Parts: sequence; C-alpha cells; structure tokens
Amino acid sequence: MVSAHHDGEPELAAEVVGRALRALEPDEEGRVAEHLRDCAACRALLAETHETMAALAHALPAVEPPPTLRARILTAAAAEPAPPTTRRAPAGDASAPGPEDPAADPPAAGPTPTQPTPVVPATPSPVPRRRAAAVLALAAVVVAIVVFAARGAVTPGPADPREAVAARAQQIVASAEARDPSMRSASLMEPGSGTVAAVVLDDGSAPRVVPLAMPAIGSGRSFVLWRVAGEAAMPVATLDTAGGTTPVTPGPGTPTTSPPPASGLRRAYALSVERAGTVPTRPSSVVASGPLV
Amino acid sequence: MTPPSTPGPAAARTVPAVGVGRDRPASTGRADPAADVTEADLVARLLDRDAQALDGLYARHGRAAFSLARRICADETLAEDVVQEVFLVLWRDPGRYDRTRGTVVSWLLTLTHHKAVDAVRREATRRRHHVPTDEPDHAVTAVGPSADRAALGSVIAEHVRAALRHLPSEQRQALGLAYYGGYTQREVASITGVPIGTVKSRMFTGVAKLRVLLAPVLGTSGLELLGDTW
Repeated sequence: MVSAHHDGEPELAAEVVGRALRALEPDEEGRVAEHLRDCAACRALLAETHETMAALAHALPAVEPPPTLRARILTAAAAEPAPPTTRRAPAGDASAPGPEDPAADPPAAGPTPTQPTPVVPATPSPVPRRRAAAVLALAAVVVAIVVFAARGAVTPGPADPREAVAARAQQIVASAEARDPSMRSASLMEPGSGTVAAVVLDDGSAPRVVPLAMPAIGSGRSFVLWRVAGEAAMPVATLDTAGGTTPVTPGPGTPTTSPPPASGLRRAYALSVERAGTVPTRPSSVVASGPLV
Repeated sequence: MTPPSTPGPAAARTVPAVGVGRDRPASTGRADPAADVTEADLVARLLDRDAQALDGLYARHGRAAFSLARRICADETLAEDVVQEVFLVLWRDPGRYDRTRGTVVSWLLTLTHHKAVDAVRREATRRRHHVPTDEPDHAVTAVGPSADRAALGSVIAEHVRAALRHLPSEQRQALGLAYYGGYTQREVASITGVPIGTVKSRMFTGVAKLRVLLAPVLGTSGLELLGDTW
C-alpha cells in the first residue's frame, strides 16, 4: 500500500479508497480526480483497491445471465460505429492517469432534480464544524406542518424523479431500521413539489439528517432542523448549503431535553430556511416536514 | 481489530497449484475454442473489431459480471443493461484496459460495479423493495459449467468470504454497504450512525486488511479463472 505517501494527509488515501468504491460524493470526486492526475502513488493505490474490491464479487453466489444477453451484446457491438483508430499509451505508464481506471468516468447523475447533497450526521463529527452562534430561548410555537405520509405518498409515473428520491429515502430508512429496529424516521417532504428533501433518522439520542433533494436557498442562508411535538418546536441542528451540520447548543431559556412524549401528540421533524448563522425562536419558513414514524 | 497473522484460509493456498498462469491460455471459451489464447490477447483482438474475441470474453466473465450487477441492482433487467454497457465499453475502447494494472476480470468487475452503482442511483425505484445488506452470502441460483471448475470457484469464493469474516465487523459492514449496497460513504455513516470520518477510516483500514488477506489469490490465475468458472 502507499498510504505512507500521505503521512501528513491520510485522508487523501482514504478518499482514494472511497473513489475506488464509487462511494464519494460529487464534490469529493472532483477533488480526488484532480489529485490523482498528479500523484502516481495514489493511482497505484486506486488500482490496488480496485483489484481488492473486485475480488469481493467472487464471494457472491453465481447467477446465470439470461441466454439472450450474449446475443444482445454481440448485436449491439456489431451496430457500433467505427472502432477506435489509435491505441492507448503503452501499458504501465504510471506518469499519467491510467486509462485502466474504470472510475475515470464521472459518476452518473443521481435521481434528484437538485444538486446532490452529501449525507451528514447531525451529531458532532471529528471534523470541526462551524458552531451556531445563537443561543436559543424555549420555542413554543405553532408550526403549520403539512404532514405527508412518509412512505408511498408519491405515486407518479416511474419516470418522475420524485419517485426515485422517495424510493431512495425508503431504502435508507429500511437499511437503518434493519440495523436498529428501534430507529424512527421522518421523510421531510416539500409541500409544494412533493419531493422528499431529506430523511431524518432518530435513534432516541441525536437525530441524523440524510439530505436527498434539498431546495436551493442561495448563499447567506442555511437550513434549521426542528423537532416538533404537538404545538412545540425545538431547533435541533443547523445545516449549511454545503451539507455541514451543527447541533444547536442549548442555552439559557432553551429546553435541555426534548419535548416530553405524550400520547396523542403529533411528533414530526421540520426543516426551515433561516439567515445563515442564526437560529430564531420559531421557524421563519418551513420548506419541508414529515411525521416521525 | 488486529488483522489475523495468517493471510487467510488455508484452502485458498491451493489456488496457484492449479497451474494456470495469469496470462493463461484460454481453451474453454465457447466462442474461442482455440488453445493458447490469453485474456490479454482477447482484449488486444478487440482493437481489430474481432467479435469472436468479445464473445470469448463474455463467455468467461459474463456470468461474474451479471452476478455482481444483479446483486447491486436487485433487478434482472437493470443488471442486463449494466453488463451490456460494460462489454460495450470494452468493445468501443479496449485500450482502457491496462494489463499491468490488474487482471481482465478485475477490470471488468470494477467497471461492472461502478456502472451498477450508477444505475441503481439513477433508478432508485428499482430498489423500492430491496434492502441491500453488507453480507454477500445470500443464496441465489448458482450454476457452474463443470464440476472441477465449480469446485475451484468455490474454493476461491470461500477464501474471499473467509477474508471478509476476518475483518472486524464494523469494517466489514462499511465495505459491504458500499460495495454490495452501492451506498456512498456519507450514506453509510448515516445508516450506521457513526461519523463520516470513522466510515472513511474503516473503509481504508478494511481494504488494507483485505489486501493482505486476499494476497494468495489477488493477481493470480485464480480470479481470472473464476471468469469462466461461474
């Protein structure tokens, strides 16, 4: 391995591994691609990781492809236009990005109609994040929340991107529930478009936010996540447009615990748009919300 | 968290004893019955638009590619599209494969993985009722071309499974969700409830350990042979 190459920047090698797994976010992909152009050691690491991970395919039980697939491929190949007339650079040339890198193609665009947004935990991460400046007073506000069913609410045609986003949300929730049956979730939908903007996973401690199709809000603004119980709403975290999340720090007058559970109370999460760096006592503009199920 | 001192299951050490070299002759391909044709030779022949060479490569590796694509996509039709695209990529530009960087089957499977992940992200509706897991051992129909090759395939497959079992569970889970499930690192962080930095670290460390554990089969004839073992 070539990780020693990045003793001072171990995260770079980790990003290369992420690229080999096709597991980076679009912004990360760009940074790593740029680095790979100038770093032969990381290109070697990429090739090694590709080979290692490809071996995992052999752990899968074999499935026979349909007999028609072979003919399909050969027919499609015959219909292809003229072949390439030039050969690639000599194999083994480590001075340039290798054409052997199957990841050289950028990842396909996701199903979301808006800029793909990374998934971020609402809990503090090892990477220092910007802290919210505001200390909040107790929020006891009435939030007009349009509650959508978290699952199966969007049923347009199969080509509708909203359906793809909703399916992705369902998948994330299902995976989280499979690992923690006590996990609860809320799919936050935009009332106007019916698009699932984000999913909140709540294990009873700190909720985590999975942005899926967050609306564009421009610079100088940020999202605030609110936990809602009946008529009360409490800010939980701020999310900047780059996906960074900062838990809201309780202060004087701010409840230190979640609203007490009570039967009959509608519990939900809501996402509002606020001026960057501020957290008001009540949501200014709720852009998405959904019940906790 | 310490990787085992042994490189992996003893059974896998039998792989090189098969005596089939990395650039092994290809005498069993359906469309390429002639002896003394190597994998790299087949790829080189694609430059001359040799459809038989493409057929030969599909005969060897199509099953492996389809198995992986189907696992990730959880949809047979989508998996077919992915495999077709993979082989057409190679057909259009055989120079993308560099034999000095790995085996043909590894290259094809990497491309299959990436295309399948892209496809499933594009068409998330396909996975509406499918929850990808981080484990590879879900029984589906297994078909092998011959008993001995199937047996060898089983040995290598078990080696890979054993290597995965040797990983600490959190590393196995992180890599499995990304590789078999097609999740991004940040999605894995959210699903597993750990910080993104931890996920990246687990994946990096897990890959490094797998590299050691799979050393007996990586870059050897074993993985190439699996192409037509499946």
